[in-house]
Amino acid sequence: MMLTLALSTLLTADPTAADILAKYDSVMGPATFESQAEMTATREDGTSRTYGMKFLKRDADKFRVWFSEPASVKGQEVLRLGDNAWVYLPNLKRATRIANRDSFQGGDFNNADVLRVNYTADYDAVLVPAAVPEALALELKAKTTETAYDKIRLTVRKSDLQPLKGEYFGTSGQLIRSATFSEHKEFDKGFVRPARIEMQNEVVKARKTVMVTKSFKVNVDAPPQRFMQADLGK
Amino acid sequence: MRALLVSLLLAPVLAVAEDDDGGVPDADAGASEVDGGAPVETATTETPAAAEPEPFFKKVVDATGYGMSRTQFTRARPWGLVPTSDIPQLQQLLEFNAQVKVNVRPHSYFSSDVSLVASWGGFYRGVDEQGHEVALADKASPQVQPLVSINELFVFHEFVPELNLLVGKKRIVWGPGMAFNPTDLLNPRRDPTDPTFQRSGVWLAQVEAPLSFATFSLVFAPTVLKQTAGIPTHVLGWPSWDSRDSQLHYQLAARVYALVWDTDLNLMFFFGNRAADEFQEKPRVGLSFSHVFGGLEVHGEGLFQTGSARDYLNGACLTNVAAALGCSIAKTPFAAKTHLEDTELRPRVLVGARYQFSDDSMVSLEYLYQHDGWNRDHFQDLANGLGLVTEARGLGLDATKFAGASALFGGGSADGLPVRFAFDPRGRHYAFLTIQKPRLFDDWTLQAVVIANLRDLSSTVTPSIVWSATDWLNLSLLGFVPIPGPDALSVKTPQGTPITEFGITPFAFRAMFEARAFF
Repeated sequence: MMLTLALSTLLTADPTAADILAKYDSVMGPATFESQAEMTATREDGTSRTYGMKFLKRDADKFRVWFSEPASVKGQEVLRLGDNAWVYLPNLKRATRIANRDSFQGGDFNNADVLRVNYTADYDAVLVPAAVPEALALELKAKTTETAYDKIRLTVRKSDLQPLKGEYFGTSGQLIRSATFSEHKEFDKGFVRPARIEMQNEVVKARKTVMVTKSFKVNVDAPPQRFMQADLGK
Repeated sequence: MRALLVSLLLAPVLAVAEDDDGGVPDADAGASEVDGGAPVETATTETPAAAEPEPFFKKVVDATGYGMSRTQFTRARPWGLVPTSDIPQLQQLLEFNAQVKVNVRPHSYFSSDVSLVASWGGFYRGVDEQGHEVALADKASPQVQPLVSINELFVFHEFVPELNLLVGKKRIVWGPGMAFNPTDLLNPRRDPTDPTFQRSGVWLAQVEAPLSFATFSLVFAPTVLKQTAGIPTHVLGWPSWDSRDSQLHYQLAARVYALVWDTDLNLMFFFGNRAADEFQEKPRVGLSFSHVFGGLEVHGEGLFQTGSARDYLNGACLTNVAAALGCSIAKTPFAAKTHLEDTELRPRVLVGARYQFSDDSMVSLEYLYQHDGWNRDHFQDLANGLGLVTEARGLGLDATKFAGASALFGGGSADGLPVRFAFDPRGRHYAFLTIQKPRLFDDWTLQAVVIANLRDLSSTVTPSIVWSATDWLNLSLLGFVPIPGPDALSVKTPQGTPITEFGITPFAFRAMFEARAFF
């Protein structure tokens, strides 16, 4: 009760940049979770491709993805351990290392957007004025050159710090992507997060990718062996 | 007072949020706008939907696969030094592949990857006694036999997360090489121009212990000595009614894998007895690493062994017709594994790098060194042998029937799917260059693979373009062009014909169209 009281007292004051970043990480990348999602990438010619996938996460930076759709990529897997990432291709029957900044399955998401959601570790954040009412905004600056983006402008809802919008900039300062987070819903025992993320390609305006979360369970059983290179393809 | 009021109102929410979010609250709120845009939807606290999809990994049976049609035209070079009588110029191949995974129990599953392959070939070309190109009658050459390719077929069981067992046919590759794996002593060799095509593994039993600091693997792979249409009939040893030797044929392999300083490290130990080669009770050691620097992946893979199971031509028998006849009468082999019992260390090492650009274009360059590979003198023996073949052909003799002919003409993988190009590196120094541009106009992938012998600079160039016409259909057009190296680096037959490794490929070019429909 005392903790609740203290936290609620804190809430009455504006949260700090660190609070917002921690909240973002806890919503978009909780410590352990299992989820299913569908990603639809719309291309320049207006056609689209849809991918089905399952995610499993453990600790801050252990991530596994299994692709189930379409048939041409079924069986592909991705594993991320810290700064290391591998892709398993069933036609190759082996795991191959990939770089962090590779795009995620050809869509407008980056591997780091999907496989590594740990902004607290990757970025320094400062509060900046929000462009809209009832919202808070952060400007994130990359701590190292290894990150996917040089700068991110993140807008969250003031009331519950749920993400609303992200703007992602390259090293030249150019806006590369922008994300809209919507359809916030409770997936699992009080766990609320956006069910839909629309990532707009700001360089090629006709391109966008929508990630729709179908299910999301936190605190699941995620044995460490599922996050070993030797487990890929099994 | 205000703080107390807020705390009372939010207490139930905070109690839950503390569990999941480290004390940072989740709460509903009214609509808001971003950048003056449309109102953002209100967060709801709906309970999870009753019709939530069942996770696909819990399915009992999961099936996928494809049907593939490949039409191939090969322009044979009957005027060349290597016989072409077994090469159909026109070939049609149909493959039906099914990959089925059955989850038997929570920690056990059965997996199969099986292809049925039917093919037809015709329009064979050869030369007559005067050396003129002629059409040959169609025949049932090995390249057009129907077969069942059991690429993988195994049962996997996890006793505890730290210990699992796999029994059956499986392709296990530990080395990071893209085009070639010197440490792969188990599997049928890949086609470096299309490494995704050869998926066939070997029959084995593997015990693996994935521990937090390292993964330990132990593999026993009995050799398939004989198979019919892809189905093994003789394994490990020859039966008494078809006895060719009394030995056990197998490969034992042990591996320790660890991720150290963000680097994949593999230490391998092999012990084999007349498995894929003629070595008996042969210990070998393998090492590999792979590390990523930003967009650049760097890797290395080495196999360290004494001796060599490679065939070397007997130069003394190939100097002229008289010498060849003398060897033939004395039953002196034209080719032999003369370094089989050597104690000299003969490593095979591959090092390479792969750069991935921001648009996912990729350039990969690898270098392969084989200490036991043929040097210029060995290739001169080859040139002399091929010169004798030309003379024998003039005398109406079929040189392919001579003992040791395979050392002259090379050979490919006999197991698994029919590869587009059977790569059997005989030299010492090779380079593999792969350039790939995916998602050109979204659905097109351009690729070129160059394999070069760095001694004579002969090469093969394999351009390809793949169109992902739909989610389930890929259409590919591929070319395959051998390019002879410069005359100055070639060896010469007694007749003066320049010889380079890829310059003597028995066809001038190959083109193929492939349609693959996934299900």
